[in-house]
Amino acid sequence: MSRDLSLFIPHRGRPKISLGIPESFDLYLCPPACVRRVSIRAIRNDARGHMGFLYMSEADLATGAYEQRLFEAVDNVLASLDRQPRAFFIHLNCVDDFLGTDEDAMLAKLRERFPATGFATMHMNPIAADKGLSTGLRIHERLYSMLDPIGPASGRDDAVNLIGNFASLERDCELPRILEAWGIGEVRQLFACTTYEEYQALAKSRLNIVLANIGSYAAECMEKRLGIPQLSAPVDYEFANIEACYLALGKALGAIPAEQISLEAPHCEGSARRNPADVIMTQAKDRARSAIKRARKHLGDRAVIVDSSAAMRPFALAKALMGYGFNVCAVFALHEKPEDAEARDWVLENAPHVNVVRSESYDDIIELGLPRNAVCVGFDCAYLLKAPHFVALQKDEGLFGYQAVWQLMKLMMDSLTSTTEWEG
Amino acid sequence: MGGVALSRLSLFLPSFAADYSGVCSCLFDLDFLVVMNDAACCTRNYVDYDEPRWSREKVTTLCSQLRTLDVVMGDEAGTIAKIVDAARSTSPRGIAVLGSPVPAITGMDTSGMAKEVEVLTGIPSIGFATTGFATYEQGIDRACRGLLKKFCSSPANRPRACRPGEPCEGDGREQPASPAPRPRVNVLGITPLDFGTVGTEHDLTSWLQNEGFEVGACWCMGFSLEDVRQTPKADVNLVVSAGALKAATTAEALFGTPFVVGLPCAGKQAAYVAASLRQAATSGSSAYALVGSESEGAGGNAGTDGNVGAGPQRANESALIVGDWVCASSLRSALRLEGWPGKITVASLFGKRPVFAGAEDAAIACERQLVDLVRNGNFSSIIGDPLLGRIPGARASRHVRLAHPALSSNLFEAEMLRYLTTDVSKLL
Repeated sequence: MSRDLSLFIPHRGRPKISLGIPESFDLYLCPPACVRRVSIRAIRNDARGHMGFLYMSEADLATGAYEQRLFEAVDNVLASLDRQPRAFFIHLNCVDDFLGTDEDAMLAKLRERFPATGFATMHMNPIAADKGLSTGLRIHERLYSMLDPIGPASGRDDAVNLIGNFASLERDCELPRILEAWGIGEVRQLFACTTYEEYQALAKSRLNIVLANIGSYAAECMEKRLGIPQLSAPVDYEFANIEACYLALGKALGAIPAEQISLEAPHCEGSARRNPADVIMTQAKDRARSAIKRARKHLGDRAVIVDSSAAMRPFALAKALMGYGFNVCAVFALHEKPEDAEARDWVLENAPHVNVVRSESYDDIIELGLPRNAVCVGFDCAYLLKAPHFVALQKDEGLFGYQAVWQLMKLMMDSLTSTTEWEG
Repeated sequence: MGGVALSRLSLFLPSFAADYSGVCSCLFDLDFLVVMNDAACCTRNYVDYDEPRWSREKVTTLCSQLRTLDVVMGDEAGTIAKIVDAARSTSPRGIAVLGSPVPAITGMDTSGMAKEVEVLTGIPSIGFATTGFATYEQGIDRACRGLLKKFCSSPANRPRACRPGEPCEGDGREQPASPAPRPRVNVLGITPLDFGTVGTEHDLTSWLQNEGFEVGACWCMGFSLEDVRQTPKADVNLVVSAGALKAATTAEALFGTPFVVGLPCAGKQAAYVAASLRQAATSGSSAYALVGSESEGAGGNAGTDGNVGAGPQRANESALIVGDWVCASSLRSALRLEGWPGKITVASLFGKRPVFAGAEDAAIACERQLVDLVRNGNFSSIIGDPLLGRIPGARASRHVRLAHPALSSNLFEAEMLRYLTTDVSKLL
């Protein structure tokens, strides 16, 4: 990660989702400024009703009085709510890292006082980005920390959980249909839960499918604590990786024999043994292949730029696009992730002509001489170049499998038929 | 029930724009390199929620990416090196080093860092000990006064022209007793945090010119460092938001420039402010162009026709105006001058009670106080940000929605008032 002064690209008004647990309450204990964006976003997302802020003063910090104020505030919040929350999160920010708050004692006292409510702390402390897990990974883990282990009498059901995503897969994604063909009765997702019971049902699922790395630590903890196995299945745009992912998924669910190692076998065309999942996969793959062909023809040699606001692994996306014959000229890796390192190394070694922009410095970007008429996949590069051809993809959201490929192709083609106007 | 805890508990409103956003907003036009000494969130708050002018061509504030180790080791040198490096590549006119909550509690010395940066770069640098515990108007105050002291106290700055009857500097002679044809006016305290980006700064400068004034610096929208340096030349400063009140008194103390507090809202209030400016420029005495508060005595000169909205049924009405002290008091003044007969209370979530506040006006220190004021006040109308509608009891009152970005950020940009062109009395 760059440790230079960092320039932030404005995301004013862009929709952002904050995950939460149904029937829970979030109390932020921090200096007032720390929750400016959290609170505005909550109002924009109509979620302010489940949220409170207990503002620390500098004197509170000096005297340690903020801990006592917290108990009083929780008392007040619980007294003011029509319905008692099932889960109550205390959010602590960067300053808490330097205060030595006795969290265990604090939580023990709260649990003793309010036995019907589950309490947990959550740390939003980007100042600690230089040590251990990222804030996002830890917050994600906390969101699943209220799940109760299922008793020995009740077995796992036929559902799977999707972990790490912030939005539902789009309707045209083949994954749910493939899962159904493999006998999966339900696909559970945290943000789709509307009641605490639905949330608790996540603990009954037989597999956690981790769609984005941000959910990996949560899945790891759930495996240890709840016994739910996990499978990493990040969004990928390369056929070979998509196939490998489905193969691993089928094996993990027992739908594909464990000894089967061929990537082609599960859905070899014309096979007499083709099952419904194979058919769905083959159709999806064909659709993606056709979409690539159309997009290639449509874009020709036009330059393409991808960035880390569009895809969690922009180098992997760039590698896939180059493999399909697109003229990728730059990767904006403003938020580089370790899980993208392998693809980054491939790009650096095999495509030295591709500009890699790691700094957020405006001057660096201008000096690269990148073409404004490039198809810009992602807000950050499109904004910085004021690119008229902007693909509004955000963190791979809604995409998976072959559908990710055809949706991306469609969006890239659409970007040429309309022009994005940039202010300023 | 814990009274102190309740006073710090917020259940309905968002967190307000912080002091560091006020500083950044004030410095936005000045070609400064502004460095927020924070991990990420504070810079993100300003860029995403408090600065509508940010654009590809206009980049002012960078984040130092402060990390635990920097804080634990007290490593200010690392941040200074980053700033110096950035300054060498961007050649700013000035550099500002800002604090955030962690530097505030660990005692990082932003002023000392700025001094060192100035020595190393030769570029004028200012440290602002912003904390994130204070609100935006305190940041505007810090920035305005910091700029005045840094760029305007130099002996090279030529003081404004002598007033009639006043001894002229240097020769002891008296100026002929004829006022300057076009008194020069600085506008102090206009930022997007109070006024959005609907063009109020242009409205103000056009209005001043139409009223026969020469416009000096328009702090803090549409001005330059040259304008800042020329600030002492003004005959009078016009204060349009509370964040600039102390800057006005500082300018008065440093340069002898009188000030007028009041926003020229559409209608008679504008005429009242114009008359007050002329009077202050001539007399050298500061004034509050606000009718309907404790300084109401001055307002008697403005006169009212009592036509608009007057009547027995309206006399029973009462209004609560919530906003910046100067803006809200100016709206009250405008309503009074247009003849609105009911009781009008001004309340502000930002800053202490100013000297021009009325006896029943309220400095709201916490959300609970606002809830109590709304519940107990029986106001027929509430004028203020759309988010005030979330306060329990507010729905019983008619709500005249005037967006205040320091409260609601960009949620209600379309409901931002153009004070000089919209007659607020028509909204009631």
